[in-house]
Amino acid sequence: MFILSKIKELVRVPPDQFQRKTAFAVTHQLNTKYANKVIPNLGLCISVYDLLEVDEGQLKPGDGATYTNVTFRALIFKPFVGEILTGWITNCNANGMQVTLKGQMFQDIFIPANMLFDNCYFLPNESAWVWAMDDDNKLYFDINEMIRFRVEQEVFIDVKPSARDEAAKNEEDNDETGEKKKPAAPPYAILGSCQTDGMGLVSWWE
Amino acid sequence: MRILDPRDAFLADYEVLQFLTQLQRKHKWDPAGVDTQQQQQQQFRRGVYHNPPLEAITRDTVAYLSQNRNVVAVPGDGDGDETAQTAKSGITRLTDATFSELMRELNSYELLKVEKLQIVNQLPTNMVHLFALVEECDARFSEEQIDAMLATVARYTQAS
Repeated sequence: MFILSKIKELVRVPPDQFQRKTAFAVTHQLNTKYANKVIPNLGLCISVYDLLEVDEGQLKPGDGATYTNVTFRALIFKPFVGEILTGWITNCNANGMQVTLKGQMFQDIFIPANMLFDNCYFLPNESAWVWAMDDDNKLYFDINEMIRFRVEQEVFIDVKPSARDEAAKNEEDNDETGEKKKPAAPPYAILGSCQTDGMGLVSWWE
Repeated sequence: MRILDPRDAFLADYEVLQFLTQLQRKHKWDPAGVDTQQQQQQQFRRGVYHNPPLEAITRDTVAYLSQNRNVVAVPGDGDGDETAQTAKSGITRLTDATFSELMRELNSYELLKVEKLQIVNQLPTNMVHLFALVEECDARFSEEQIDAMLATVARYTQAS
């Protein structure tokens, strides 16, 4: 589920950080930039793991800050394709299911309808998916249940800063007019599947 | 930013949990989290290292990893959530010594690296779960071997 990635970066340490030790100041700058952020085509960065190389700081004309070349390893959340993960169902609709890991950690997991078991159908009035194993046994995918799924695909979308501003603006507009909000596309999403034995709600297989 | 090596190493959940809890201890962060402004001011006065995004992701990841994801506590009534939260995952009971011992024992089976990684991450307690993690488990291993594997995992992660 987690990997280490080696990254090289030019770090700017502003003058108000000069009383700190170099390693600490650099780690702080890197954590501010990367912690809890998605790195495109890599994954969700949790934190800096360790610093491998810190060069001498350099000065640029017209700027009081130092610039330091740093090679570091970052702790990245990036499940590989085929990995089995456990999460919680947050939302069900006709297109599939939304699954989250804990809290803010990772929320953009989607299990599309065509990647569920064969005899699955959606109940709109209960907003739940149902797996009909046979005529008598019907198993429900309820919201807030613990679900096990297989990672099938990762989707990265380049979210541009301007696009995000626009989305925020649209949201405000919608709030005023009372229209339905359209959620912005997540920068990093995982598509999962529930098609083999052992997948689905954890309680089914105990 | 230049990515030199996208996958320098795999990390087991156990190692991540150790790293993040050490980070929390080092910076004296409250694992329950700071919500109110008053608490934030207290932290500020104590000189705690202040980095809200890092603190938030650390807290959530630790919470996710230490929660037991193999057993559903009590199905049905609202109290179920409470008990599920108190149930700790097996990896919280491992130590560096027992973790490497568990790894060595798993090495005696012909498992792939990613399969071993997933076994030590998820610590399967039943056969269906193990079959999901290990491809073609029934063809590659005999029933005794599978039972032995499950027993090994259970031995290292039992609640004392």
